[in-house]
Amino acid sequence: MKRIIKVYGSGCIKCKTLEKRVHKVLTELDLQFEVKKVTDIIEIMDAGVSSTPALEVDGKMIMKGRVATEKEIRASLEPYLS
Amino acid sequence: MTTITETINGSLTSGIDTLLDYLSFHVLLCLIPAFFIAGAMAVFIPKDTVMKYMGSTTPGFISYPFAALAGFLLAVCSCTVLPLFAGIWKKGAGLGPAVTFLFSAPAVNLLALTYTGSLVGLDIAFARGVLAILFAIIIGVTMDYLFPDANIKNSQENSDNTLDLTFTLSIDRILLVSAVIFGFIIVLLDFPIAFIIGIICLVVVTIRRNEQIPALMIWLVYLLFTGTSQINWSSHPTEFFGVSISDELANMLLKAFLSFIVVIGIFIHSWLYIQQDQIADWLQETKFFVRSILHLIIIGVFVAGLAKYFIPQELVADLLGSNTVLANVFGVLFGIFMYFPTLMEVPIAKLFLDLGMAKGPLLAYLLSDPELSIQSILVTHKLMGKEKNIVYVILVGILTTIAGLIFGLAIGEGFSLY
Repeated sequence: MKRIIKVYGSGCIKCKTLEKRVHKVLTELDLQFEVKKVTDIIEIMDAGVSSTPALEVDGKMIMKGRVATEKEIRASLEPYLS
Repeated sequence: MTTITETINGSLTSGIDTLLDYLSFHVLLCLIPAFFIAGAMAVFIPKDTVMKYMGSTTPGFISYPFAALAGFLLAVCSCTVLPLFAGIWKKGAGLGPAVTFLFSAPAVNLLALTYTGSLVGLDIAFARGVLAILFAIIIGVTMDYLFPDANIKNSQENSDNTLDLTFTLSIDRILLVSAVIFGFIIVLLDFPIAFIIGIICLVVVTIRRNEQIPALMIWLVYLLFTGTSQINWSSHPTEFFGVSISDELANMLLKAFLSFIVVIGIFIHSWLYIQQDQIADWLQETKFFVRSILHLIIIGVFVAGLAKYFIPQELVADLLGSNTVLANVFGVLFGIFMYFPTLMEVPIAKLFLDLGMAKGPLLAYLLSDPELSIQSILVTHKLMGKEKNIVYVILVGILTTIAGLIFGLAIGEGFSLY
């Protein structure tokens, strides 16, 4: 079963940029993750996110409130490189 | 066929003229600093600190003003408003302050105010800010009064929310506040000496190394002060390096020069005290704002200019030309039912102003439009439920009408029913 990356955001330019970066890093590292975009505001709140965009990798919240850099995304995926 | 060509020609010319008028040097001096300030606010203002003042144990006379202020300080991106609203309601001060925040955020966010000030006029922008904060608090208090059992006081979650309200006075803080006061004096009274004293205050704070982030914010705000000042020191054509220039141009050059001094101050302060990665974040946030908003501004101004060609002036002047209750209600209804993307309400307001709309109804429109777009009503409906949402919408409608009437009355537009 594929592991999940969740990108929290309601559709503004920051969230879209984060999603693009995640896809870019996944391709570069050749990792198989499912990327889910969470746009529903209730779901975002329930996850404890008080400011979008937010990034969650395999159940762990990596970044809240700003767009993670490619370096930060890579660092969070480091443990999954076999 | 000729009439169609004429129409296209006329309207395009109107659109382009309006756009070029707006993109004048004067406006760029206001709008560009605003983007940088918005970026800085997004990076440097700590959300948690501000949210602390809206905890569940905070007394009302603090949480409400702070909720309104938070709308100004935090809501620079629309994606922040809704999660924060939910946070304040469910985990913080309750429904009232949350609603206050919800109302003030779109109305007093920095880019909206700067845009309004530069396109429509400083008086309307100022009124928009002040009245929005006032009515945000009124609406919040009313909602809290009408729905007293909406507050889920979760004592377990907020047990360590002890609020430290002591405000320590320090030389730096006094200097910073003085700098702001002098900044306002520059804009409102145009005393050159105010600029010099203000800059000296800021330089002293920079040298003293304390309050680094607040000082940076005030430095940035000074750019807005110089940008919006109505400097009028040159009253006749003067000589500049041997070239004779009009006094209008001379004044503009003076403003640019003052702004340049402030920019040097910002550079030095940032170089001394702000980390490299923070600056990178700041520039990235600024870039995001420009990318998401600038094209909306340009298109908005152009389209409003286009529309100006088609709307009959007599109709506007007749129906909306004076500060009547009818005109204000119309302004509010127009704001509710006409859907425009963010910030589009500003060039539309300018359009109506040019066509003869009175300033009272204009303010009513400007206040109600960002609050009650179909999109935000749908979201608040999901968050608050049908009953609260309907009450909120009605409250906003009534109070923005009243706000417009009061403003119109205050600037001498009179008052009547229709």
